[in-house]
Amino acid sequence: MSPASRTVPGGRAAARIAQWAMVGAVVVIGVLFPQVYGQDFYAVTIATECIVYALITISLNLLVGYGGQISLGQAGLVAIGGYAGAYILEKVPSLPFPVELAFAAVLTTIAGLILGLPTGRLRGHYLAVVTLGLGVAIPQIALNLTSITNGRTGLIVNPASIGSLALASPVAIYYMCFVVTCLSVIAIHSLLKTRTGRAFMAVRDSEQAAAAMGINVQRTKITLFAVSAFFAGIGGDLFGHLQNLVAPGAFPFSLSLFFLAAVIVGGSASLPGSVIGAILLVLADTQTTSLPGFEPVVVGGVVVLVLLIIPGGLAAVPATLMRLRSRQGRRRARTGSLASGAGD
Amino acid sequence: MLEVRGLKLAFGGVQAIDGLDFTVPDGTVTALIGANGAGKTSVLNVLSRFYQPQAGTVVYNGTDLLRLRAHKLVHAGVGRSFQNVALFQELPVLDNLLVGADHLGRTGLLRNTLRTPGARRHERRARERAERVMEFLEITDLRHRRAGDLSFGDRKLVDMGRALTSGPSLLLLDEPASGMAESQRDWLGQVIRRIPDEFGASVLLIDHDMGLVLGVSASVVVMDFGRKIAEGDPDAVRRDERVIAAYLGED
Amino acid sequence: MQTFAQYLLGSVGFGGIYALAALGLVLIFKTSGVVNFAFGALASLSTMILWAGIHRLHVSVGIAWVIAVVAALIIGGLCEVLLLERLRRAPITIQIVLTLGLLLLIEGISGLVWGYTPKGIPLVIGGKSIGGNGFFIARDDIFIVALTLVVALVMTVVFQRSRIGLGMRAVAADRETAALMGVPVRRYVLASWSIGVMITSLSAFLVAPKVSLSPTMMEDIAVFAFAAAVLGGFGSLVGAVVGGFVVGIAANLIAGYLSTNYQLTLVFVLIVVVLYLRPNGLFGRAAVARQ
Repeated sequence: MSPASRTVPGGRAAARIAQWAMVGAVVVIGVLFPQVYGQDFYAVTIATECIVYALITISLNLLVGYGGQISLGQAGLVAIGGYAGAYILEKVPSLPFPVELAFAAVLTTIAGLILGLPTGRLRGHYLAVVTLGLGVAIPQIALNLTSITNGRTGLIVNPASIGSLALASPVAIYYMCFVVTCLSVIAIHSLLKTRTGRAFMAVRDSEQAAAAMGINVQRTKITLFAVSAFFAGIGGDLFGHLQNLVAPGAFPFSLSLFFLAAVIVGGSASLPGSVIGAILLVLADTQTTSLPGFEPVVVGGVVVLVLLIIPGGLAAVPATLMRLRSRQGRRRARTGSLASGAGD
Repeated sequence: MLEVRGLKLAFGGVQAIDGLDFTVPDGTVTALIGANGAGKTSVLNVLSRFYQPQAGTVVYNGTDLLRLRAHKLVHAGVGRSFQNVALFQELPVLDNLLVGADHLGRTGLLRNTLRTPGARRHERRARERAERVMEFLEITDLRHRRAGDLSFGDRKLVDMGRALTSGPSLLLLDEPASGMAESQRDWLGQVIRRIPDEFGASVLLIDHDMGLVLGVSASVVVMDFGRKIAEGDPDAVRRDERVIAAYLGED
Repeated sequence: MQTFAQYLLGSVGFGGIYALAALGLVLIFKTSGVVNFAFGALASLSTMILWAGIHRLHVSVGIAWVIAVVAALIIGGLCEVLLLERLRRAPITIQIVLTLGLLLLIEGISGLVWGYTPKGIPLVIGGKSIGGNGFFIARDDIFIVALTLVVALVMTVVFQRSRIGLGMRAVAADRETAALMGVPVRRYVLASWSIGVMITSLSAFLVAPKVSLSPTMMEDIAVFAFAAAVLGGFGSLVGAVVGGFVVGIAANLIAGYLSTNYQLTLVFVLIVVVLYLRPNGLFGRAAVARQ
């Protein structure tokens, strides 16, 4: 006999169609945005910032949401990526953009590997402090390693180039960031659907069961840190191009917290959530600059409100609504049957 | 064949396992029973390398299991389920089972990111395995449900299914029937009995439910206070006086 | 040797400040299981009230202290009432982010009310440093260390000896069981938040004269205090005090002997090394894993 009746929630096909429609809409808006707002450099720059922050938020979500680890130092990794790109571009001005990007990503990955090494022994608060240390230390190292980083002034980031094409205008930078971010998200999405991605999540949910299923827990965690750092490094390189400058002051501890807030507000272990979280917080931050003193109030208020109302973050909204609707539907069905029973 | 010899395990002053010997022949269901605290789950945790015993040997088909790290066991053909169910609760049922099959894959980070043919092939094979196990356990309709949302009984099935999907030649089941309804237990007994034929795996079964255990197993090992007090086919064990005194008498 | 002793003497003030701040954080964590990342901002807010007492109400420094301490108790209690139910069962990342949101909110509001221009707060005990023969210690630092030790001692005694302490320990050990045994859990948690924020606020009152007061004054202090709490085992009161002094002293020795440029970095390197050797901190108990 099969165990008691188990209903399958319907509408999976519909949900999938909705998902693809959403992805399509995002891509179309992303491609068309500069066509419409191309003259408004401020708007284009804010949009680019949203894109770059979304990628970095996703890189952190890999670690926090999908991997169940904690990091208070993602800005440190972003800084490494930014400095690496700026430095190599300064030394070899005509370096093709993909090579520059790869250099930044690989260097940051190495930092991520080192950061991942103690995770076999450390978790929770202890890991928080170690990553916090990284986040605090990197800008300080950048400040003092003047021969490479040019100290407090920082490094001017030369425009990226592909062949003879220099990507210097805000619109060019926008498209560069948009394409790189899209490709990164596709790569992350497909990785998460394979055994590597499942191993990340398995370790997050139960280390013991993961080991019993043949997963090397320690190696999986180190891989997770490295993958997260890889994409943080890419994000860092884009960050440098966006700002035209990398300086120690651009990567404060609060930037790490900003990314963490974007992950949680958007919803952990959700890629669309991270995109939405990043955009929401960037807008909350930039749209209040005309009201000096209000940025922290607005950003903090958004974070507190979202988490008090929807603990799962914005990505949990559709599921919450769906559950509410099905509960209502059930209630209606029950009252309906009661009514018909009364009629008998 | 699994051979356990002279196994001893102590926590502080408590002797959880005190010189245990038994074997699990290939292609059969062997049961390990005993009252609560008799040391059954400790045996399983030694076999799956969560505990390091103070003495004894555990050899499976010529491999010394005590030399392997926990995550290498599944490669040696040993799969297990958990008494309290340690599912990957945020993942859907299907993905829980896929993780079971994932140790068979050989593609690494890069090939997985690029979805090379090799990576796709592993995905396909893992899915086929998982589908077969889900059909066997009649949980196909739970495929997309989040594991953490299921009833305890269903979670036990998914836990067992995950171990089965890993393709073990020796399956360790830790109280698979606990938390299940009476009618469901009979069905589960049938299912466990078919595992050796359907999946070519021998089973070491731990449970309280005497009806289930005696109906399913070819041989039974009875433990009390960390020691083996009886061993044999179900009928012999049922008649054994020490077993009646130590265990059956309580019911 | 003489310079070493002088570095040591020069660092105890900040050591005490980190220790006090960490004590408040750990007390709140012990009873409620919440890492309150807003603790620094809450303490800055209390210090703003201290400043307002002196410069707006024109009361004496002593009375302003009393007002600010009472305000801190109220602020801590309010946070508990407003946020605790949402925070208690949430994973640590959500706790950090939610209290972080609170931190921004409070810093922002206090910035809007009082502005960001640095403000002066008088030393509790001014005057010349004490000592001779090349050993000097500021009178204020003596007061800080004394206050830290007194607070730590009182807390330890209260925790170990009094009925309130017994209740708090019961709640810390096992909230559900304590509730079943009839312990008024909520009241103890409320008390620990009030007292915790108050203790961290004391550290802010003491550090304000050294670094000058602004809404974001405690950000750096909070980072060190959090590190100190973790170093001490995150949950041990003694550990928080020792951790605070270790961090303070290490920071000063590093600055004196190695480099001020890499002070922060090296402090964290030290902490990481300690945590690598003792993954549960200096005074933390390892959780025994049994399935």
